Amino acid sequence: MLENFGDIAHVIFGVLGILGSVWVLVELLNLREANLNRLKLFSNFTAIFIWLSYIFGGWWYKVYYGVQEVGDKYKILAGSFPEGHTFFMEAKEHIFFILLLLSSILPMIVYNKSLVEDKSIKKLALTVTILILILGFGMEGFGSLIAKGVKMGLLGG
Amino acid sequence: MENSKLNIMTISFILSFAISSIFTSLLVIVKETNEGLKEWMANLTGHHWVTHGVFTIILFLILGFVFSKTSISKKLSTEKLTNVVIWSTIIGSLLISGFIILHII
Repeated sequence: MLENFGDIAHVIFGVLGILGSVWVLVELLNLREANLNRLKLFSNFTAIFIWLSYIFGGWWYKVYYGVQEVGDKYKILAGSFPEGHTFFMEAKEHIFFILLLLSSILPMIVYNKSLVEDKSIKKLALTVTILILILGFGMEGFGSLIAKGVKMGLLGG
Repeated sequence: MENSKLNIMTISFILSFAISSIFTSLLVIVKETNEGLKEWMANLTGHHWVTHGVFTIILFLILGFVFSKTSISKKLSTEKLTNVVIWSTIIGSLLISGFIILHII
């Protein structure tokens, strides 16, 4: 089981990061002093899980995905859906950097003392959270199309 | 309009986020159109994508701390910073996906 965890760790952490940002969104929409600690906690979880997704995803990409001739990349390129790599993986691996930085600034915004009383800071926090959600779901969607590319390659077309 | 509600570190790192996002997008275009640079980046860490990430993170950290030592950050309102976040995310993502569609496929 642990061997398989290595293959999907970045997906699991990515989903946890998305769930964290959904939690942050709900807390922000009901923002008051009473839920501030929970909001801070889940903004940290979001950032930590996205960073873990980046680290495990990077490791998996380098050690498994891109291995010459036998990696998933070459299975996709040999199949009938090469765009699974040429577009979806290429876009995903680079747009992820924007998501990573977005998740890093979220706790900084949430920890501002004026968050509860200043609507413009709340709006900024909501904006960053929604962008994390959009990019996060985008990464998951791209990931499923990359997996589809591997499947098409293994099926021989 | 001076921003007194957001702390200086937050403003600085939001500005740094915007610049780093555009930087990382432009680096995709530059490295994919320049084999020498891509190879140099690959030789640095073993893979060009790993180097790309390291450059982006280092730039984000350095700019964040540099901006926090200047007064430029104080001049931006929270509303302006919100727009900066939205547009840098959109432009960065479009630059990457647009370039890949036009030049790789």
